[in-house]
Amino acid sequence: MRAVRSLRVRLVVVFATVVITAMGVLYLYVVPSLRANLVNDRTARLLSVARHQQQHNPRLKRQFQKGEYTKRALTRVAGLANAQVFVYRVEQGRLEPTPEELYSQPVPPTFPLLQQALESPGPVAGRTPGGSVLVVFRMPGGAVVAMTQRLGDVNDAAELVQRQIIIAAALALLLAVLVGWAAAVAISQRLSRLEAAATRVATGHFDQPISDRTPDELGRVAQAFDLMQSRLAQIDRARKDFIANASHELRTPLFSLAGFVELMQNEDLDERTRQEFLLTMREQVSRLTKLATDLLDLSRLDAGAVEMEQEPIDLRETARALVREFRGLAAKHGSRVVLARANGEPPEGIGDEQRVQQIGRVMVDNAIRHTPRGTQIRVAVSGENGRVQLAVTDDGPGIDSADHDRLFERFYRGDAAGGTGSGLGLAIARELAHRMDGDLCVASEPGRTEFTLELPTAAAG
Amino acid sequence: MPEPATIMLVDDEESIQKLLTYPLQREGYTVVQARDGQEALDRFSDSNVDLVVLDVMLPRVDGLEVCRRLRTSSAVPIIMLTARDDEVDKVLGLELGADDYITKPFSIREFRSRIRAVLRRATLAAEARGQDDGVIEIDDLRLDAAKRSVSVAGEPVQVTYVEFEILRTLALHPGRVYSRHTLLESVWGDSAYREPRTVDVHIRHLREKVEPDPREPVYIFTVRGVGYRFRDG
Repeated sequence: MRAVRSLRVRLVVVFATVVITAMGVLYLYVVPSLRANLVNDRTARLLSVARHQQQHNPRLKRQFQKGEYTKRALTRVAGLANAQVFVYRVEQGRLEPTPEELYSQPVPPTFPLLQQALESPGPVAGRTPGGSVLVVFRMPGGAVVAMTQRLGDVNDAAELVQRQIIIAAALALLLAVLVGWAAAVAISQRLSRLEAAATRVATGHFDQPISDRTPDELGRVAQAFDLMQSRLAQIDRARKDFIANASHELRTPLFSLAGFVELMQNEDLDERTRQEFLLTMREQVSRLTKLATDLLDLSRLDAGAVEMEQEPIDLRETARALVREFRGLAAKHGSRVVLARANGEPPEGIGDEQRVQQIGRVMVDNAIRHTPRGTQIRVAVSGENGRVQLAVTDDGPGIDSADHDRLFERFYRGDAAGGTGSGLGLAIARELAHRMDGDLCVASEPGRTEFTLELPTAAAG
Repeated sequence: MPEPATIMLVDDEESIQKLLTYPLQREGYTVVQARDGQEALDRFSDSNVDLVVLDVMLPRVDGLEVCRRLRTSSAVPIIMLTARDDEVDKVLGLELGADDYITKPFSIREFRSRIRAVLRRATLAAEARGQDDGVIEIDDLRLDAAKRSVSVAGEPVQVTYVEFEILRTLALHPGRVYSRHTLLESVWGDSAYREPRTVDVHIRHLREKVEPDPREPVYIFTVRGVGYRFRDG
């Protein structure tokens, strides 16, 4: 049954059980032992009085030796002991009650304890049939004195304690159940919130933190949960953005391709327009191809599936290759790519040569595409701060400083939008640089924009 | 039209500019191109534009903002190009007041048909402005067809071109039930390529503007499964 197994019920049952057990122990063990202690105490006091009267009261001894045990003397003893006192005379080995009897006899003369006292030198203690404490001692002159003390007050005290224990138990039980219930409700409410939040997360909603700041274990769980949720939300947002961006980047060239196909099918196009359309279509196809490659690269980078070599690289060789490769494209744009003379002998870098080439291509390609005609692009290699740098510098109009950080975001194209880029090149390049323990950064002002790839060197590594 | 209309085409994609410009020029329209929102706003004030085709996603100033700013100073017909269906609401929205939208991808044939329809309506509306169409008054609601103005309890209410056409169509025949298609036809001349649910969006915005409580309409009633009707009497 769900209700019985719920935390509330179980906590309340545990609380109640603890209280009932504690009260039961009090009631069944502590009260009887309290009573026994009180009785023993009484008996001990009576015994001590008896011993004193028997051995250290010469006057009483003399009176008994003379056979005159007066009412007065006995009353004194009784007053000392706060007890009832009786005297029995020994007649031919048998006990007889005396006429100086103060009270009605508590025990018959044949009571075993009286016989026992007759044979014992000191006082003996026991209980009367009525439950009172009985102390008996022998006196000279053939007499036996019996002192009894009722236990009514002891019983009253014990009963009072018992009653109070029951009342206290009832109150404690009520309190335990209430407190237990309240605590359980509080805890189970917080747990329910955790549960509800977890269910929301499971259905893909990450927007509602639990915000439980209580400094206890549950509060810490809630905080850890909130942290997890915000991380998940971040990842989820990034994933959705990525898909939205990727699909937008795919749809735009597809849409334009479809449109041109429709135009070419239905319109009467002159040859020049036809060629122009075909050129645009070819650009769109190559854009799609590049996008597909980039997306694959990114997903492999994200999955950690990109193998990186750790080999020595001569960046000067990389720079020369880049200049050779892009000379043609630059000329087509009316720009120029030149190799800068290296300052001294830069050390070899450590990394994956193929990937370094890839990063270099992104840098030079961007420098050509995103600058006006007549721009000069320099590729330079240097060794500074124990690292080695490959820098691509152009004297174009520069990049707005607000865009510097965002340049490396996926799909971010800034105002360079409208070109054929997907906005993924720099994102991939920087990711690759990081994988090689390097970095890729930008410095730009009007008239000078520099992208720098920095790699660790063999010496530093 | 005495002279060919001038159409401003705002899209940041070079290939799409090229793609859409060709059929427009083929039809004889003059095309003014703009590559981003700022350029669109600048060129709009420089040229005498009869129709704006505006992509929603634009660098610098986005398409929605361009639409809003154009509307503050001009009643020029605006067709928005959207990437997603769920942007309909935003595009036809209260404060934006675009006249029509097309979701990418669309065919060139559809594009042409939409352009023609919007230009035709604009021309008709311009001609209608010359005539006195009279005034419709129901309770607090007042439609002035000549001024193309609407007021509620004497307070003027800003409605878009399409909203006005829908309201007038309904109010001219109180009690008559109009289907969404009929309403689209009355506004655009035909309902081809148009989604009936855009009518629902316009009606919702209209109610927000003219109804005392848009959730308890007293002027425009929904006829479930059919369309809408204006209250009779």
